[in-house]
Amino acid sequence: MEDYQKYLNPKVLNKINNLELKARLIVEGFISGLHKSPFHGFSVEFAQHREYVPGDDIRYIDWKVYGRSNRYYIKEYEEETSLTAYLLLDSSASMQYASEGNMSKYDYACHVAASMAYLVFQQQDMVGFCTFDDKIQKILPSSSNAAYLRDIVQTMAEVSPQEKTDISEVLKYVGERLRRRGLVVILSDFIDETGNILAGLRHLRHRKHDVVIMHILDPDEINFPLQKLTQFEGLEDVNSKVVINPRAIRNAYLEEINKFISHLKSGCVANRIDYVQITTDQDLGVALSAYLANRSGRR
Amino acid sequence: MNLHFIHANILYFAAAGMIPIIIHLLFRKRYKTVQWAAMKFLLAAYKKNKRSLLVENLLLLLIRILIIILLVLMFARPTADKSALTEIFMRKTDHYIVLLDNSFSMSVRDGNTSPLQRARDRIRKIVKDSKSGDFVSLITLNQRPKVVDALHKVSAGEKGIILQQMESIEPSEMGTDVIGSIGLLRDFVENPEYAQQQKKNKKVFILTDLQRKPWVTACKNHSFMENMEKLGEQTQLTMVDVGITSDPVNLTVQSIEADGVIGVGGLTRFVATIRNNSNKDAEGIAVNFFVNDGEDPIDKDKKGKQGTEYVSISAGEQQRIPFFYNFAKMGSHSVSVDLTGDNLAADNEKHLIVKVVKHIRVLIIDGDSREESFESETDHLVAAIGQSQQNIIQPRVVDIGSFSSETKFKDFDVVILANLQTFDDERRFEELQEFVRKGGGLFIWLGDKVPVDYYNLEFYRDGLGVLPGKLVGGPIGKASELEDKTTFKLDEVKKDHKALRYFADNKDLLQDFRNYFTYKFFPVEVVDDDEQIVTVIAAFDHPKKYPAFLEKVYGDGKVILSTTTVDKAWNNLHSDRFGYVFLIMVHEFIQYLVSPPIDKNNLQVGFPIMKKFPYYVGEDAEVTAPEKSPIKKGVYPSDTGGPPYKITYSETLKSGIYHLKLNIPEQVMKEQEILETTELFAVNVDPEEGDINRVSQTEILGLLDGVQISFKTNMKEKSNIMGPLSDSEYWKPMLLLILLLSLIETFMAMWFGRYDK
Repeated sequence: MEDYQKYLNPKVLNKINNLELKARLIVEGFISGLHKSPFHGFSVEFAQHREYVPGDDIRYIDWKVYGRSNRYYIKEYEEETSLTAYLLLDSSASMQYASEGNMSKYDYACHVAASMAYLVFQQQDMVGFCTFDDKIQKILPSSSNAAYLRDIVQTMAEVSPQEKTDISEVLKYVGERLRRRGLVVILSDFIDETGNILAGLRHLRHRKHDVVIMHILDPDEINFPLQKLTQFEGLEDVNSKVVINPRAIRNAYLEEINKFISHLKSGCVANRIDYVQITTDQDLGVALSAYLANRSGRR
Repeated sequence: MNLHFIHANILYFAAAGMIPIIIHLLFRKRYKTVQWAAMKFLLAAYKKNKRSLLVENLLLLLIRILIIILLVLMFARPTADKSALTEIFMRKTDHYIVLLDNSFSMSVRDGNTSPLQRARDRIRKIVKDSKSGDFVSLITLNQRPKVVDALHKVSAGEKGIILQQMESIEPSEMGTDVIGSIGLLRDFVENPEYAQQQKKNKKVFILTDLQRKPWVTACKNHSFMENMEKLGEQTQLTMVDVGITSDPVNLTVQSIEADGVIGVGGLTRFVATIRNNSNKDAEGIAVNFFVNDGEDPIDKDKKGKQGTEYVSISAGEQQRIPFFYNFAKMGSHSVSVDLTGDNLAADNEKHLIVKVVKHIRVLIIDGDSREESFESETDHLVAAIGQSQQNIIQPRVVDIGSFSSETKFKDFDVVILANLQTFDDERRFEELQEFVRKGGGLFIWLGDKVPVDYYNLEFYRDGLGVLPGKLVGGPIGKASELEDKTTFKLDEVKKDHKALRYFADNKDLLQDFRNYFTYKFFPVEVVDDDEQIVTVIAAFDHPKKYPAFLEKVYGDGKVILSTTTVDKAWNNLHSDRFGYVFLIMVHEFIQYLVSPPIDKNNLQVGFPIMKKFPYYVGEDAEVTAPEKSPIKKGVYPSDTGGPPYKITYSETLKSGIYHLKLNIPEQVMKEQEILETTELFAVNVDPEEGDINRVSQTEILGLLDGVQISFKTNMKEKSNIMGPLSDSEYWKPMLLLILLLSLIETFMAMWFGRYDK
């Protein structure tokens, strides 16, 4: 019981409770909810008329209005759809890193994932969850039952980050498995080849999923504030070691990582993927609410 | 470039330049370990920047090392010629010409070093400072100055070889010839053979101990001063004083003298003169005497030691130490004196070759023989000679009336003519002349029977004969008992003449020698000659200063002329008051006449052994130098292919006894009645060189007034090493350089991201 509660910080949940998680793409839904679709569907509800413009499907011209006004109007409908959010959590060894005074990237990602799952359940929507490294580790099928949150959090607690990351393969696999289009939220440090990552993301987009990537980074990784002579050992590859004066390499390192982030970010923009960079020293509530407010505003 | 440091000891701290390296090595092992997630980016950054990181690290390390070293150098206070920095940027090829004084005074010890050692250090520095393409030449300054290494081009790998050659210069045992050496130096500098060097900077270094006597004497010489002035104009002339400033003790064996002719079986007195050539008193110095030391020249165990005297000599004084020896054998013998316990060893030995004879055979030809006792011309003479010790001098008196061809001059050592009118056979003049030319001694006394014109004709021969001077008229003065006698005394007496050696040491005797009366004498005129073969030993107090005794060197022999009589007719030499003066005079003069005019067996270092033989002595001789193995030396005939046969040996560079062994055919030995085939030669250092008093810097610069010369003192005297005032200190620019480097280091470290935040 305690395990799953550890990722549900009441303060965080309170901050995000009032926000709606709104998917940019309209997905097919079986349950009615708060999400409204600009597209027609099975249970449609008239919304408004608007003047016909060339290119509109003539099937939606309201001929009755034409008869009365001799003008072409198109009927628009609103449809409430249900949302399926798939939370993909990176549990590779690199997620273990935690700088002094901060939680590890994995723990931070778990907090984010749990909070989002809670939010989705609050909206009566469905949540699917899996952890991955170079392959899928744990997978929980989507469900709208709020009690399912316990299983998700339980799974998070059970996983211990160990292996290398292979995001590309994992995303391809996930893309193949998800039958319903939905919101795919990937929480990872994305320490992999940018080309592979973007290939995986493109695959999801190809499957018409709305994709959000939460790039979880430790502040040390983007600021590199280390000072004294240090032997760096790879978390994912224990054989890779280097003794280096951090001050001497700082600029070059920052250049490398910023280049990577920039590359990743521009790849996301090109593929209409939301890119959210969060560092583990950030207040989780602030970070999430800021993102969700931004996303809501775009609708 | 002459770079020096005032506080050279601080330079040891330059090792602190290693500190940055040590810190680097120590801290390389002290690191913390971090498990890093974004290793991919870190490795990529490292891989890309590995080389530049290494370069940056090395650059920073070098700058830090340089800062520390410059800091140390700055505290050591470097000084250099003003032109030094200019030289670095606008360098011309230099020609270093080193004039190295290697006279034996340069060997005086001062602790573990000597002026020569210091001069070598200076040469090492000069060679070290020279750059590729420069030239180095070395000339020695001594009695026989020599260009040792004419022109040696410096290249990176050559410096060691040049130094080796310089190091191989041994201290010589020669004296100092400053005038000759500077003459050679100027010839060298102006030598057209080195004309290609005209465009180069000629830097002349004179490395010397500035021995007072030779330098002060040289500075009074016109040609020396002219040479120095020219050298000052043509070169960058520097005098380096490598002499020692402490007060070393130096005792010199000045001379060994024997009292007269040495006869077999008699006790011979030798006198060694030891001089204290320093400013300190010397006490308890052991002086050793040797006779025939090292007969076998390789044997150096001093078997011939005869005794030791302990002496104390005050500063600047000299002491005469007598010792005695009885020679049992005729022939050549060596006598040596040595001492120990001072700072300069080269002049602590002296050798003398003496000839021991059985008798001195004297032929006295009496020109005025009488029956009565002591009335003959030569009676007093014979009586005086008869007083000789061990009867060494053996006279044979021949009345001119009974003088026949059976009496041969060559059977005698000395011939005395007493009031001789003439020879009945004119061939006698030729024989007598030949006798003197070959080394015989001739003592001529005049008298009332002497025909002036005849003497001038046969003996004087316009200066070419044996007579030392021309008789310019009949006798001057009155000696007859019937008339008032005139009196002449000796006015000018040449005390330093070897024939008067005994007189010079005895004031009373000298006084009496001056005071005896001469009533009558022949006026003799001496023609001035450059070769100085005629010497006036003493002259009368006559207004025209007519000579009383004259000497002429004639061939290998000598002639003494007395212008008065040998008997009592014209003087009072045989009176009770002055009889002893006559006796001593006769002995001294005879002994002087038998000694060769030039002592060819007692030489100075550097002077060749030259020997002429009137007969064939074989083609090869053997010369054995001290502590050396014998070497063959050729004996060469004259240009005509016959006698005289000559042998010359020039390598007398070391003092000691030299042996010349002749390979004379037995027949020649028999014919010439030769008993010894080995001849001894003593080679000694110049005792004057033992005077190690020095001339001061101020004094020498004063004496060299008008010469463009700079002066440096010994390099180990740090405060003086800066030399002329034109030297400048460079700590200020160095401090600026250090500050600049520190700024560069800070800037670079910030740029490279090496500073802690």
